[in-house]
Amino acid sequence: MENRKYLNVALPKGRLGEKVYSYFEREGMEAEGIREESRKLIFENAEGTLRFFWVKPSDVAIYVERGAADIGVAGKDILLEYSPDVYELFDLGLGKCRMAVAAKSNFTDDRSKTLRVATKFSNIAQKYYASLGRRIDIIKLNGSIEIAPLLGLSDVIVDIVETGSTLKANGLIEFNKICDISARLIANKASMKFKGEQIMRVCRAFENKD
Amino acid sequence: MNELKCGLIDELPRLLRELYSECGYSRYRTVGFEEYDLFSEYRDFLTSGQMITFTGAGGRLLALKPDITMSIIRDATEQRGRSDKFFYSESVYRVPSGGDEFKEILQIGLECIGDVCAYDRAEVVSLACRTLAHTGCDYMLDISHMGLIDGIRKLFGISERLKGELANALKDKNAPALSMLCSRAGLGEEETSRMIELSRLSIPIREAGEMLSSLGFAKYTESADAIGELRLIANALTDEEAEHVKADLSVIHGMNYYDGAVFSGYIDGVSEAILKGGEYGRLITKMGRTGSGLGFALYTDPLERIDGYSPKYAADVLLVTSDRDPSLISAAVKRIKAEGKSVLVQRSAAGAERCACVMKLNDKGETEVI
Repeated sequence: MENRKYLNVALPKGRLGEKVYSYFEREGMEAEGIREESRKLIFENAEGTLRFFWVKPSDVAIYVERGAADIGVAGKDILLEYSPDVYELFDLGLGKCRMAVAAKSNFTDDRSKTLRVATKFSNIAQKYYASLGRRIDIIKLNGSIEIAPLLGLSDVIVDIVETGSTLKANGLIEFNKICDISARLIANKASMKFKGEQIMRVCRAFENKD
Repeated sequence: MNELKCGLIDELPRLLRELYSECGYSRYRTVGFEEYDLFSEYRDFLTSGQMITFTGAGGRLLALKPDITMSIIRDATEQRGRSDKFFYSESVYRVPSGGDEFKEILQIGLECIGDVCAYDRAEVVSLACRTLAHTGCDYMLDISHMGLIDGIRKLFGISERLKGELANALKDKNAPALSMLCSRAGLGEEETSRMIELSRLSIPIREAGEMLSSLGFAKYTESADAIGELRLIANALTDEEAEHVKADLSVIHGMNYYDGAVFSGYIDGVSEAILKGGEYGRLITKMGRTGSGLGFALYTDPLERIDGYSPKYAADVLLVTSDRDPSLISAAVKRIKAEGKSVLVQRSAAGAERCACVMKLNDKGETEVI
């Protein structure tokens, strides 16, 4: 596939990606057929200058870092966890949530014991507890993190919290906020050298979206 | 397939050897491993601090070479007024940035160590440009100077304590992180926007001195010196080279070691910086040497991924001989070669996809395309 003449945009599948795409549409940068129901994942605009990919949200940063996409939209959680070598150009202010430590309401931190932490975000958790000088045992899970403390698998969890309703439904309480999370516009570093003007045009369109 | 580039991947080491030799750089050869101690003290100079170590026959701890620069610094001669200039084409063994396993990485590069002068600095940047040009691809060299980080810090009144954070945010042109940093430093909206704009600058090198001075950088010693050095480099480049060089404040290499001009080179078609270099006076001092040092390395592995860069076929012609007389085969091979084509001889057409064309040899010694 010839990538050079297009600005390749990796969009996260789902509501966030659709919202981001609507900004492109508003700026007249739409692609034919992208709003239609289909299993197609790649769409190009009529002028042949933009190409959109729908990819798994957690994979956007990989597509951009490796240059398959020139720009993309990725959550700060993914950027913190995997530290991809990309430019982080803009906070879109979408998909706002926070990375937090949660546990059962009766949890008290016993510093004489190693803290067992269940999480999908092992690097974020490692860094956070290292900054506190706390000895921990990371239990890497891929989903349903909330049940880990309920089943005695871990003492706490480190996970994304949006409204807190999932925690509440599972009898957990948010103890500490680690950081705020939102969607970021990211760019491949080499693409900025050869398609810099196109990329900055998109960036400025987003900056002026309100 | 791009005929110009095809096969250049094999030619490149020779072309670069000639280029560097013309400027008085001599070949530096290393053994594959060195004493672990050479690297362990300065491990944060390496992309990753990890090394492949083993115990030598005499019980000494050795490491498969993770870097060439430190060996060259150690071996350079210290003499007032002298600079040693070496080039190399060697493999190093380390975990690449963002990787999780050791890799053999082929580097072609050069180092200029000792009593480094302004001409040496300009020559190294010029050689970096010409190295990238030799790849046959469109290229860009982003350049900055470590002294400019202090300039930005002072320009915005950011404390020394936040210098590391500032450098990290600039490196990724990270607007959200710069906003947060500005807010912590008590800066207003206007200054924050100015800082973000600064991080996004990409200025043609010949205009960089004037632009950075007009932005206020010339007020501070470190950044004024940095601008002066960048100006000297810019003026010494040819017009063609200068067209490909841009000042970009996101080029920041290890602050513990680099203290002068720093640069990263990109070619169209490769998603990461393919060349990295700069002046590492602090490493020289830390290693107990006098003077300074600068150089760069070109990472050749990513070139393999460029379409048409490596030959598509093992040979132009697969000659299927079906056990004919060797003298008939030799004559046919000679005829094909005379047409400027390469030829692979085989009894059958098995694996024919390796060659651009398949020919059959008949019992009269004639060839026909099949």
